[in-house]
Amino acid sequence: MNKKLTKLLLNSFLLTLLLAIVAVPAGTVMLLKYKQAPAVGTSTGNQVLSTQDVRESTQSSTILEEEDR
Amino acid sequence: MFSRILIKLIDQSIVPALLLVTVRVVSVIIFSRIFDVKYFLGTGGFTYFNRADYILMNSYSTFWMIAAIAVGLLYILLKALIFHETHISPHLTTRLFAMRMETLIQTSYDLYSQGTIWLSYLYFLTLSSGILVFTGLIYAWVFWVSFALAIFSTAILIFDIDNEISSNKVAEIEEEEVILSLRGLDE
Repeated sequence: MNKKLTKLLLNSFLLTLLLAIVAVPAGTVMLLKYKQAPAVGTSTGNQVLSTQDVRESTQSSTILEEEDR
Repeated sequence: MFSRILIKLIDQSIVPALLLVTVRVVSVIIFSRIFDVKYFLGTGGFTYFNRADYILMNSYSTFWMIAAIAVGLLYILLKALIFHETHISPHLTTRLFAMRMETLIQTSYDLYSQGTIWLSYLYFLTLSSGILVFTGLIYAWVFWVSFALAIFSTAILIFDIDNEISSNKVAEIEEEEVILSLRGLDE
């Protein structure tokens, strides 16, 4: 019984080792990563404004100035 | 017996694993230079600064790993089809012995253990490239090349195993003992 158990343990260890070796080349996928470079203006926590946003903001401030006058 | 086969498989698997990892690293460095892609090499591996560069490098390096497996597998399949001990032609055997290249003649045990290992590498790589295609981190053609190669080499290996089984059956029939009883002659 003891001999059988030792054999079973040895076989499962060898099988695991074999699978681990075979999985290594496919696992090299993890060797490559990418990190998105931070966009200009976001480093201080500011939101990056699109051209549309800037145009809308300029228009609304112009309207306010005219109303003040 | 089972552990002996496993030890043989582990022994056969180390060299291809080292070869494939080397191909991966070298191809990443070479293609980064060819495409002029900037990367940062740290303890975590190669880090790219945008997704497009990452996909490009991942695709090309995986493709070169598949190409390396293809070369190894084709060599084994060629040996299995032409130089297999059980069905090599007598003419070719004499020529190989004359040229002192008899080491090319392989036993079924050696061929199938090598074939199993290289095919396993290909299956794992096909699986991982499939997952990467699904997540959009690799070009789809890399997966299809790997998939086609896996189908082709599996079919060739199955064809060789079929040849082996049929040649074993012929050998069994030839080795069958035939006892003739010549009763008429005794009388």
